[in-house]
Amino acid sequence: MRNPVLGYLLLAPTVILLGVLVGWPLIEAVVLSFNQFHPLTRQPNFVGLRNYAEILTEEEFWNAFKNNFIWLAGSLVLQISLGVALALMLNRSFPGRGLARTLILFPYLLPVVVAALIWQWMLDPLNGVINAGIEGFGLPAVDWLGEMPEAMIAVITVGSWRAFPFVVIAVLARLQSIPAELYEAAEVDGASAWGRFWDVTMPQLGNVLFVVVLLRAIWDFREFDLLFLMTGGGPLSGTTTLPLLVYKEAFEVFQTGRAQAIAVVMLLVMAVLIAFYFALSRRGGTIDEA
Amino acid sequence: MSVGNKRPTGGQRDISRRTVIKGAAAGSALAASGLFTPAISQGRTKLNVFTLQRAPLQMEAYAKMVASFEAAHPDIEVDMLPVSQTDLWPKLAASYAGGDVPDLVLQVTAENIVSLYGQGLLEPLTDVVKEIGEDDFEESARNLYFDKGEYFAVPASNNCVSLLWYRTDLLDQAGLAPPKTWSDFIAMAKALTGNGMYGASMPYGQAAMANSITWTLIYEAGGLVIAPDMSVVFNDEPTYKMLEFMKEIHEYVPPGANRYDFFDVLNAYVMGTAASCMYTGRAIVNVNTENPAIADSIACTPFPIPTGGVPWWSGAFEGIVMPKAGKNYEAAKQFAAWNFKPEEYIAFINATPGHQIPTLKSILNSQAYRSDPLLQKYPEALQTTIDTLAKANATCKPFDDFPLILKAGEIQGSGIFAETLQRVVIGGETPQKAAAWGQDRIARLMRT
Repeated sequence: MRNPVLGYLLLAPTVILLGVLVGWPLIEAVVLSFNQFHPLTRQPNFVGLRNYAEILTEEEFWNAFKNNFIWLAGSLVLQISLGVALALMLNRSFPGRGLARTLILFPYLLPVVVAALIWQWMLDPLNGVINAGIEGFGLPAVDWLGEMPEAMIAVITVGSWRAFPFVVIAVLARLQSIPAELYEAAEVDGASAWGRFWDVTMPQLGNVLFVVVLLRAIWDFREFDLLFLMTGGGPLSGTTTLPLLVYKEAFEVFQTGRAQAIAVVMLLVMAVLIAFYFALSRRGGTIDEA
Repeated sequence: MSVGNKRPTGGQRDISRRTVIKGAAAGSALAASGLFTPAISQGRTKLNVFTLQRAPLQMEAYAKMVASFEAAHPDIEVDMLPVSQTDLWPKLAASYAGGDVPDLVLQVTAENIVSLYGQGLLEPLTDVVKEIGEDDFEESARNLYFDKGEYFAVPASNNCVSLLWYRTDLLDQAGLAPPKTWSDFIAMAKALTGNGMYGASMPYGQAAMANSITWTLIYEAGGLVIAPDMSVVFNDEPTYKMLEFMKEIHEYVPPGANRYDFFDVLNAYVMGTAASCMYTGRAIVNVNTENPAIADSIACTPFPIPTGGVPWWSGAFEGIVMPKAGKNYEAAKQFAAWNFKPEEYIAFINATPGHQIPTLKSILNSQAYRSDPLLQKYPEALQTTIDTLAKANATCKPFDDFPLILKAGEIQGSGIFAETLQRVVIGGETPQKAAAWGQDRIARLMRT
């Protein structure tokens, strides 16, 4: 006979641990978002919903919100398309394939601060190799990180460069497990290369792409370090996304309660987006029903 | 003793899960027993010290200072952490949140000292000032940190960012004299721009330097940011004038200046990309070590002021402060006083000759200080710096009879100034619209 009490007792440590590690900081963030306090003196002053009312009616928040989605959409499109294309190439047989598969991981393994420094140097308007190339074609140098929209294009490119190896690894692993018989059958049926890709490869990649897009979207939505290091949110507030706005509010203008309120809104937006994405994927049959 | 960031000293090795668990259990037991206190290790008091002057030569001087202090005080260990101006508030906030507040912060600029004092976060250091010799401190620096019968900081040094460094060879070739007004400066920058050379190097990045010099330029234009009654008066004619000046000079700065902070502004001048720059005397050592080819062609003048403006120049008035939540007041005071031992003090000040000027009159006038080879090589630049500083004020107390602006550090660190500037220079907004935005943001900051 089953003993439910024993079951709950066995579950209790896990539930308590999760509660402490996840629930408590979350509750703390929500509670603090109803207060205003200086990060040094840390004396909270209850202000109710004022922080939310203020941020939701301010240009800065909606500008950061818009930037967040431009950054997210640009990064996802670039890294997924680049990652899938390279995974398809690396799935083919060619001399040096092993070395190429190893080297492709390099951007993903590089610490973000190193990557940011390397790219800042390459994008330097006076001495950067990228502008040297552009000027070689007789075109004027570009201030990649000091003008808009160049700065957003630059950070999306660098962000995608850092992240695409993750897509390559995940997609390549799935490609290697697609049965060769499916391609043989398609060939027998007269399918073209494009037809084989679209009708065989892509449906097989559905599940893995679902997970990859989900994870990358979560990670990119809350990306802070690369943007902070590359542009600091500038020029103006052209690359200020919500995580950077949280930082600015907390550590530059010392509105810690407002910063917490923005973080809570970010969490809610992410939750809604993920729920929507799951619903969309289920309806489209992208993910297998367990 | 340790100075700078710590690095792991051992190589990597496999650690079993059991070892980790044992270690965690032992650590928890120690923490729970209260036997382990981070501030006291192996019977020695450990001082956590932040410093905002952190160039390699300055850190070397600090390493020597710490070594001599520890030799004289075997029961005290000093751990020095370099912190950038931009990172000061985030680092302090993290320290306070984690309950690991630094025992001392060295070389803090006046705006930040005053803000920390305004928040009630500083312990008085009156006995340290008296031990060093109250009358030996330069009066304006000493008086800045004296309030309600106590010194809330020890004036450690001063530096003058209100200097314009220029290339004598290029000015001679163009038949120009060093500029005295903003109009002269723009004309000079225009004349010297061309053939890969840019006339000026000025900060437009969302970083510490643009935030710092905005006050100075507004004061020069005859304006204020905060009125004596602590109301915000940023949205005014002098601010518009400052923004228009910065927009005009922007045409003659190197590409990339939209991201320039202290280092970049100086570097463009040092490396010969720009013919002039607004900077402190650090230019001397940087030119001589990094680009000696132009070392005989550099000079400085007080930063130009607008026609009809106010001859106002700023000093950083760096000081040493002791945060209230520190754990080792007495040891911290001993180390604070040790900073002023003549040999250590001169070694640190002259790690970047001309950049920092002693606040102790006995040192400023001493042969030991002035005998530095680079100071001997540039006597006019040194005298210009000293003379300009003698007339200088802190941005948080722009005139002698002005009350302390207790939120100056928050205002300067907020990035509002730099964003206002970028709105005009990059975003194309009118100075009036940008200043109105800035006024609104500063007013909000003052309300908190």
